[in-house]
Parts: sequence; structure tokens; C-alpha cells
Amino acid sequence: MRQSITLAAELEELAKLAAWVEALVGLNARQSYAVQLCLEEVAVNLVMHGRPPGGDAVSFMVTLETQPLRLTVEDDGVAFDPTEVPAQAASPTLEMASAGGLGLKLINGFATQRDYERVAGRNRLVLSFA
Amino acid sequence: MDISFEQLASGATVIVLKGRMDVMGAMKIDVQFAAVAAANRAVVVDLGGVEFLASMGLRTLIMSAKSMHTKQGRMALWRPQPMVEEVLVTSGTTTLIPFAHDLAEAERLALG
Repeated sequence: MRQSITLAAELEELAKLAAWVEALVGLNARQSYAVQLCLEEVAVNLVMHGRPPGGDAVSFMVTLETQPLRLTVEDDGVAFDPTEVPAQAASPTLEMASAGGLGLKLINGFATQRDYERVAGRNRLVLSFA
Repeated sequence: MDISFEQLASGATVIVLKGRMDVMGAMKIDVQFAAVAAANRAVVVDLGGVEFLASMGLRTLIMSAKSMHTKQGRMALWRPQPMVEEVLVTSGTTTLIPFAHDLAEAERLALG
């Protein structure tokens, strides 16, 4: 199975994304959760940081393939390679805790492989799942 | 995402969350959650009805727990569903905010 959806990088569009994944057949509950989680993290980051200063609205295309389970997100936002961001050490105490970097930590924990390339001015992130 | 509150005989407050704690869900309850957490010394967060939790929801929990901690307050998480528990563990949140599947234990953790 291979299905795609294209959305604007706007907060209001994210509910559509979750509904789209939930409606996909062939995913078990754990896979569905992992895909929804990683998509939410990628999309939220894109909504918050993807738009170039003074630039046009950003859109992104999500493609999901099964057997093996693979998620591809392509966008025309500012260049960003999440696989190059160093993993943040966990905060040992609440005093030192910050809420930054949690999204990437979740992607790294739930996707088994992460590949990024910048192609023709677009970000292309491929996440694989067990 | 829905939020409601209960007071336990011990004095601990239970914040009951229901629904998807994604970016939209977290934004919907964030202000109310922070206000109730700030007004109480012992808070148990009932996650039993939360079917999805992502980083913006974690942010709501961590920021309130941190703010409570500066005022000698404590938060404990109660009965997360299996995938939600995996998110809490993978993100390192369980090293910051304790959790339990049993209410008496969660209450004990919150009361300190």
C-alpha cells in the first residue's frame, strides 16, 4: 500500500493528518501510534520553524508505504536536517528540565531509521518503522 | 481534549485528562492545567483517558511539574495507557515526574 496526502503547514491542518493515519488500513495499533507521533512531531516543527523569513506559506506531502512501513515527508520549508541534530542528554532533575528537544527524542525512539536529503530546494525525510 | 478536577480525602487534587494530547489538545487545556497545578501542592494527573500523547502534551506536564517543584509541590502521573507510557519513558519524562498504575501509589508519590 502507498498513500499520500498534501497539506499546508498550519496548525489547523494537523487534525486532518491524524484522521488520515487513523483511517489507513494495514497498520497495527503500535504502528499507527508511532506513525501518528512522528508525523505530529515533524509537522509541528514545520509549522513553527519551517516558514522562511518573509517567505511563502509552506506545504508538505506525506507518503506512507507499508511492508516495510515507511513514512516520507517532503516540504518546501527552510532546510532542516533532523538527523544532524545531536541527541540531548535527558534532564536529570526537574530544576534542569526543559521542554525542548522532546519531539526529536520521540522520533529517534519510535522510528528505527531516519534518512534525510535536500532535493531541489525541498526537505525529504524518510522514517522507517519496525 | 477534556479536563476536569477531583479532590481526594488526602488533600491531593486529581486532574483528569481525556482525549488526544497532541498539539491542539495540549493548547486547549494548557492554561487551565497550569493554573490548577500551580494552586495545589499535591497533584495526581489521571492519564487513563488519554489515548495519544506527543511532545506538546509532555511540555504541558513538565512545565507544570517544574513550576510546582519550585514551590515544594509534587506531581505524579496515574495509569497511562501502554503507548502513552512508552512515550513518557522514551522522552525521559518518567525520570522527572513519577508515575504509577495504582491510585494509592500515585497519591503517595504526589503527597511525598
